Amino acid sequence: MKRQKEKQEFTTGYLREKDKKEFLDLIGLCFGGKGEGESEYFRWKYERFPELRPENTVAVKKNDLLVGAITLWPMKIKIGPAHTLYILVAGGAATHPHFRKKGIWWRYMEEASLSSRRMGACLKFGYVTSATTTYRARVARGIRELFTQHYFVKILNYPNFFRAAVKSQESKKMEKIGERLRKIDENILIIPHDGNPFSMRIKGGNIEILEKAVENPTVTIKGDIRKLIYATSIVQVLKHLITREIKLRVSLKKIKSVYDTFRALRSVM
Amino acid sequence: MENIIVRNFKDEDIEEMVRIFEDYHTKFAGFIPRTPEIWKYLILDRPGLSEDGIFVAQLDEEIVGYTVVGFKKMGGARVATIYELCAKNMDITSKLLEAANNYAHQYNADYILVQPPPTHSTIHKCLRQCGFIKINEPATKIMVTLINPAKLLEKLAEVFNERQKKECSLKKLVKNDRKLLIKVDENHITIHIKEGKIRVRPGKEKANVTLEMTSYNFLRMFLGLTSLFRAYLTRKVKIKGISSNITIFKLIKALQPDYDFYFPLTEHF
Repeated sequence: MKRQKEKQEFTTGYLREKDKKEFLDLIGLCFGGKGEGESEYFRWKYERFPELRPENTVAVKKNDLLVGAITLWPMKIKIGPAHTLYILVAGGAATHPHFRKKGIWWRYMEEASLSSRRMGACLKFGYVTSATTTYRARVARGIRELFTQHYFVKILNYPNFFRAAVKSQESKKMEKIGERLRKIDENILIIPHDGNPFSMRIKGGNIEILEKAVENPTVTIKGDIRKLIYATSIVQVLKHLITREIKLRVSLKKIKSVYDTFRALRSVM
Repeated sequence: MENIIVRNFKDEDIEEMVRIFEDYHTKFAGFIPRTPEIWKYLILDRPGLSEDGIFVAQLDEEIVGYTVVGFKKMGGARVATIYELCAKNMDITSKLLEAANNYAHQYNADYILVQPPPTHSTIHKCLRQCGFIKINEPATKIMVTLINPAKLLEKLAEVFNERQKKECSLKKLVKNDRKLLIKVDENHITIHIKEGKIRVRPGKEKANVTLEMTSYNFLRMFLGLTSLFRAYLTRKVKIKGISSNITIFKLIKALQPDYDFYFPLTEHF
């Protein structure tokens, strides 16, 4: 009953010129922390895009306070040799942290579809990174991807790459996998095929990355480490071991803990 | 190969950059066709992207490729992102990747990311040779919502009508007058073939053939991800009145875009 009443207090409409500052504050709150020049980046994205008007942003308010928004970028994409198709790209879905899990996301998503029709678009696009909350929310509501574009990666600095992974592992999102890490006690020596050897010390859920090779490692991994980093299943790890793309000097029972370690660190991207 | 010079971008290169982008993407659909203004907005005006990160490949005074590299923080790591990489052949691509690699090293990047066209096997091969590895996660998922199916078909019919003026094989498909009804979820669209042209009208009319499908399958079919034949065999599409109109399979194929879709990173809003 309380939730129902709360839902009724939200109003959906377009962004007004006077709300623009409040909107950019909300964007900063939801997508901030990306370092220097982020406000400049948001202004470039939300204010300077050709033909993007405040009406292209769907806003959800509660008592005149902006609590959620999504923007529809108008684009004409190529469809034939000299033909373009008018589409809207929905992005920057932002919900104020105090008002999450109240159905606001779904409210502005629905309104965005209605707005797209009013604006004369054929299609509404959304570029979403897999394994994110936004992606899962869309999938849960039956929105399926039509295309997938994969990344290619080249690691330049293995120790720093792993340090960044450890840092993100400390975030709340990684709590579940961190629990498994707590059970691991290893000194891992890593010899990448295209870089200098380095070590990982794992104890009590803490991971320390050392630039040098440790003496008497409990596990030694040698070869194309990238394949291990991006192995999404234990089967893949075993496949790399069988094809000898990765060599592991350790007892078989430790494969699982090596896999868990790398799985925990995969979140760096 | 020896004659290829890679240098930094100069303001007077913009027109050539646009030409190179358009040449490279001739066989693709799904991106915003470039004008100098669009290119300038997406590349030069993008915060976090410096002109130092734009490398131009030149062969005997002629510009034959370019790449755009920018930096961002992701999960605590410093990431060099290759936003655009357009080149005429593998040699030029390798040279540009080498320049991008050196630039990333110079600014202490921990890894380099690039998202090439999914169906461009030559560039995939080149990336692998340059030390890149394809990763499954994370990836960009392109979610598409069908807003106005009739409008999409109108556009595709427009492309078809223009093509069939030049291609004799297509003329046969529109020789006989007939009507095709498409039911997408709750919407009806009539495709009327008359006097050698395809006309699309929203609404239900008496037709020779009726196709019934969901909006997801409609998108898959009319954006060229599956054929009508395959969709029919896998029961994704129901067809009524097929026996007298076998050419319908060919017609739908001819309506599909002739290109693979590619959505460059610079346009992911």
